[in-house]
Amino acid sequence: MFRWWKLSLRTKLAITLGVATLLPLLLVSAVGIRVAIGRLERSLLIQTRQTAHIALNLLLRQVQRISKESIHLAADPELHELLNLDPGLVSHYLQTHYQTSDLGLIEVADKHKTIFARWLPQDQRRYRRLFCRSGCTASVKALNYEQYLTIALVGNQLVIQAAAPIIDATFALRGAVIITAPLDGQMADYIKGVVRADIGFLNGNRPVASTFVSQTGQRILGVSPPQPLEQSVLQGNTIETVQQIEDQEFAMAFAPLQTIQGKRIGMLAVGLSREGLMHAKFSATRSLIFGGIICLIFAMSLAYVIGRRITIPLGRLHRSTQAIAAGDLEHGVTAETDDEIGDLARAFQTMTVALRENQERLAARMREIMTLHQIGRAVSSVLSLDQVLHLVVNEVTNVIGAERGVLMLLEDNGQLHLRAEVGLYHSNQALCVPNAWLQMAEEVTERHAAKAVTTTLAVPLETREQVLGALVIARREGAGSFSEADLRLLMTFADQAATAIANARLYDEIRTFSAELEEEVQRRTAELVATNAELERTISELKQTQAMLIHSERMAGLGLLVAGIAHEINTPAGAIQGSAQTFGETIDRLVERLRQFTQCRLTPKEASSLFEQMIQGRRALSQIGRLPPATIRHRARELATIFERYQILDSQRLSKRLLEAGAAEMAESIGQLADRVSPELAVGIVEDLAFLERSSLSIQAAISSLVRLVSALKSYAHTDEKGLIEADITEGLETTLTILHNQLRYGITVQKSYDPLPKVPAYVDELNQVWTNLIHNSIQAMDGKGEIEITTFMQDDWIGVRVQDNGPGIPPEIMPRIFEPFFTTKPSGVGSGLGLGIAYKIVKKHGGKIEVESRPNCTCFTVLLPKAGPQIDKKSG
Amino acid sequence: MGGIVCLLVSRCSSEEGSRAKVLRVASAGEALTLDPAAISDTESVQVAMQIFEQLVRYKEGSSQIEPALATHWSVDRRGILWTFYLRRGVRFHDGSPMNADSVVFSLERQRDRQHPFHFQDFTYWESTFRNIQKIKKVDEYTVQIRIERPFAPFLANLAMFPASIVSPTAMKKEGRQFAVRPVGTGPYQIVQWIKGNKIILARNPRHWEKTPLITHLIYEVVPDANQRLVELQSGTIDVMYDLAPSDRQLVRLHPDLNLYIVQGNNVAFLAMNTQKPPFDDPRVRQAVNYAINKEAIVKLVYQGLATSANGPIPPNLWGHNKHIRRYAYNPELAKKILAKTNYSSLYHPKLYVMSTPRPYLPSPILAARMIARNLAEVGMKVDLVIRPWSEHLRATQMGEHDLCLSGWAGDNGDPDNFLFLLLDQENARRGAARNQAMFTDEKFHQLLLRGQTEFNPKVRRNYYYLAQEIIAEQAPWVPLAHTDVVVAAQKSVHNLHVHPSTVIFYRKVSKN
Repeated sequence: MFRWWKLSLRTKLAITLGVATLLPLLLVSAVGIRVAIGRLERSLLIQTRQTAHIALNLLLRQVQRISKESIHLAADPELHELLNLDPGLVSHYLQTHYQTSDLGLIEVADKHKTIFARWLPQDQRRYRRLFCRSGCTASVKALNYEQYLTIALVGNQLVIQAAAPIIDATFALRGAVIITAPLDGQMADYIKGVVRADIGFLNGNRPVASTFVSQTGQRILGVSPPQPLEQSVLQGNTIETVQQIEDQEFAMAFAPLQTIQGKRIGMLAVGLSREGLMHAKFSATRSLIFGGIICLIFAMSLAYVIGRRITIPLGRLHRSTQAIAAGDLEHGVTAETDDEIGDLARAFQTMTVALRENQERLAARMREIMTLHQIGRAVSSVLSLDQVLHLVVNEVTNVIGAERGVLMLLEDNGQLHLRAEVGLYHSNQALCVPNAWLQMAEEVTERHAAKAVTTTLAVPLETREQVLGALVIARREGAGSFSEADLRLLMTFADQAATAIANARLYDEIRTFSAELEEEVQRRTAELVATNAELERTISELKQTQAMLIHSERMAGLGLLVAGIAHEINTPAGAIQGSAQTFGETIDRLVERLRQFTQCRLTPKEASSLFEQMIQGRRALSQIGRLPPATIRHRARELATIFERYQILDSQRLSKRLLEAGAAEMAESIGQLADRVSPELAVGIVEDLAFLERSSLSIQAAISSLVRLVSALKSYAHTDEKGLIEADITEGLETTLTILHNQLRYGITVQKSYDPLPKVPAYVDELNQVWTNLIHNSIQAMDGKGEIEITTFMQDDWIGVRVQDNGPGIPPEIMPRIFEPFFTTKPSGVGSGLGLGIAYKIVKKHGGKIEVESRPNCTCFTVLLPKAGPQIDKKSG
Repeated sequence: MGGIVCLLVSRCSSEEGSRAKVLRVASAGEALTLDPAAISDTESVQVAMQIFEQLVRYKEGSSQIEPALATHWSVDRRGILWTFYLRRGVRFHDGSPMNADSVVFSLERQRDRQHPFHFQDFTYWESTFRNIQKIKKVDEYTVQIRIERPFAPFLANLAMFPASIVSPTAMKKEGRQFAVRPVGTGPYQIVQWIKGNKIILARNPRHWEKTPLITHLIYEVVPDANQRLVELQSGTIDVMYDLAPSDRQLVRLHPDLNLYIVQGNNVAFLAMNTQKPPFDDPRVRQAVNYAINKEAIVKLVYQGLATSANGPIPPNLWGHNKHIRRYAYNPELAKKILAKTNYSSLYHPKLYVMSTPRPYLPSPILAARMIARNLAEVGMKVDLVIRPWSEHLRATQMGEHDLCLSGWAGDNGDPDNFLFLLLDQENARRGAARNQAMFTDEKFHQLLLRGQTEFNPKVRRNYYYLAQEIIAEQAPWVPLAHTDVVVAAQKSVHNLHVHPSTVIFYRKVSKN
């Protein structure tokens, strides 16, 4: 099995090079040959088309020749003469004149379209079928003065036919000459002789004659054009195509043949052999294949040789690489050549050396990093400052390879203080820091820069903000000075150490701070818990207060109501009480007076007349008081005159009393009886009677007022009918007004304008509360003085109630809030602020709307209720 | 590889060739002049109409007028003051702008004999435009033309080639050479005129209308009819005028060729010089009319593609009177009439014939021979004087002839164009006589003048009816035939419309 990746590079190179060279070459050659052959084929087709064009013109030239010959013959004076002498001689004439002509069949017709003379070329078989019958189209046309010319079908045969009228010198019509030539093999041969291409004739799409020859040497009829192209030809186009005739390929062109009327009756076919073309194609392909093979062999051999020269040094390089990969960095590579492979080997050598050096440097660096890492870990894990300092000094001396080292920190007093050491002398149990070190340490802390003196190195310990101290290390005398790398390393350590020291200090601070914080938090938490408990208590108190407030609002409303009602009841009750108290006294006085009256000497008739008058006088009582004072004074004077006439004393006073008792008519009677009955007494009786009458009327009025009030109360509360009922809104308004009568009657005028309204389903008592609230609100807004206008109306599906007052109006800034519960503008304690809120809720419950419009002198609440009643309730209920 | 490059190059060059669409037109005769004012022959008109445009033009395929260089126009109530509003932004081939000045120049140089560019050979102005009194520039793009009296065919006349607007700049530069290097505004501009050979026109890329598809138009002169046919068959030429009648059938038989036959607006006639004896005698002229067998001429000369004529006006033109006196072929009657006159058979009248086929007379010599034969039959022997067209025209306009074959292809589709131009006494001046019969008749003249001033078509027609009756009686001509205009062209040429005046407008013609 072939495996490409297992092949040697050399083989791959050879194959690739071979293919890479050969493929484009082959491709270009193949395309080139294809294009060239295609071009040749096209040019062959074009040539065929042109040849067809030429052949057609040649054929038409022949047609023209025949036409001209017919005209020429028709105009021949000799022929005219013969026609005059003896038509029988015409045949002879034709024979002598056209003996050698291959023009075609020549016929002569007389004026009556009868053919009377005819001449055939020697090959008689060719023409026998073409004889014109008498009266044929050609003769008819010619005898109509026309020079006729056409390509036509005679039987199965395509022919050229020309006819000309014989007109003699007198322009008399003598007959017609008709020449017919067949389009057959011989005509095709003639054309082929000129155009050097095979020619064929087709009758319609059927081949009838051609110059094509079969392999056995026999003439064949020819070919038809392919089906789809056939129609195109018969529509008048010339087409070209490639066709197979007897194992041979031809480029064919077909041109239409048409009659003089333009009817396409046949085709002219022209064929050019494609043999030469095929041969060229074959040769080209053969050279292409051979050339390709030679190229391939050459390319592969060349590639093999070059491949060898490349792969050998490569192999050597490969082995070196393997050795290096195995870790043998000492393995060298030798460069043998000066080409790219030599360059590669040299580069490889350089690379190996660099690799080795880098590896060593890497190992050293690795150690340092490890140490740093350890210190870092130690520093971050150990947070006690002293521990950190000791660790730093130990590790530093260890890593850098110094025997001694000290770390000093700046104290608050600005003095350096030894905090950690390694390898210092102990003298008398005290540590001795060499003076030189101390100086260096001071110097570096002041200058913020490292300093090196032979075997001693000093660096400052500093963070970003401040200098913390200094680190000094030293080697033994003669142990070699410190390198630049050592200094860098020490500085790194110093940075780390400084950070660690700062961290450790910070940690201490934080620990202290944290403890304080915790304490504070605990204290605050306790406070918060206490506050919270208090808050909860307050909220529960608040809730209670709210409940109480709502209850008290209801109570307040009830109180208002009761106060009003009490007043309403008190007034008539007082009236009744007053009347009832005086009733007894009056009756006693009347009885006494009546007793005195019986002692007077009166005839029964006089007595009854007087009493009758008294009773009548009582009736007139209702009118007293309604008279104007001027009239009263006038009547009083009249009465006084009557009394004076009867010499009654004290007439002025008596007449006034009588008039007040409403019994002015009695003055005459009293006067007449004055001698027997004391006028004083009579008037007294009349007075008493009038008083009784008035009291009874007053009691009646009070009672009827009470009855009305009770009925209103009943209607207002609807205590016996809960839930939705068909309610009369107008009645509700009236009831409310009755109940609020007390508040309205001092200083408030109520204008009513009621439209007739239908009954609507409603919660009557609740609605009444709405009216009460709105009217009450208005009364309060106007401060008890002003005008309230109550209007009811219908609007589409709504019933509207408008309560309008001429109070100061609602300020715009509070307008959006007026329906909020507990919102009030009244001084604290006057109103709860629930009134409009409740009204709003009730209207909503009825599925209605409440709108308010306000400006100074006109505030108008409009309640709109749906005629259909509260829809939502019905749905939910 | 070299082969491929060669193939590519050849391919490119062949495509280049196909992009430049050249159309070759061959006629028997050459244009005489391309100065539109001087033109008197159809070949010149055919070329000039490509180069020049007029204020108005005919709608394609009709004699209705549509705007060309004038976008609209108006005429005052009296019918004598015409105002034309010119198309803006039109430029001549030489780049100079077409404006009121150029219109005034183009017409004024023909009207004003003192004009520096008025040349002797302006034949048309006298006959067609003499009634123009004044041409006035109103502003840059408005021109007013005042005519003598209301003239019915005036607007139609302005669509004719003499009313072409020429470039004054070019005219001033070229002078008489303008006839060879004409500059107009038309869709084609002249490139070169190789005298006696061809006129090469190139498409005008700045034409105000849609650019034509054909890039080059080449008018070739191929005097030999056989040669023309061969060139057409071989595809050397695309359009061919003056097809010999006997060749028509061949064209019909050829599948790659088309034959365009349009009823022509023309007449072929035998004019008799009425100023010279013996033809100053109307009876002689009538006898000649009887002597000639027109039917045979139509069949043999025109191959049936014509109608024998009874009068000057073609039957398809309005105003043609079909009830006039007809002269049926009657040699016996002709002989009798001749015998009554003082014509002596010793006098052999000269019959002038052009050797060049004309659009209205395809084989003049054959026709002449037949006429000669007919006349000989009645005892009048004629001598044929055969000359090329230009010489023939010059000679007959000078009145040298006794008899001459002639004809007329109408240009403005108006009966006036036939009657007034070919038979009115105003056009019988020697030297520029389009009235080759030199016929004068005062009554006829008056009728034509009335016809020109009458705008009511019915009344006009009556005038022309009467005029035709006079011609029939006076018989200054033997009207021969009204021929169809026949043009043969390659099938690959599309959208070819032959105007009855034989002019082909190539604006929309294409070729594949």
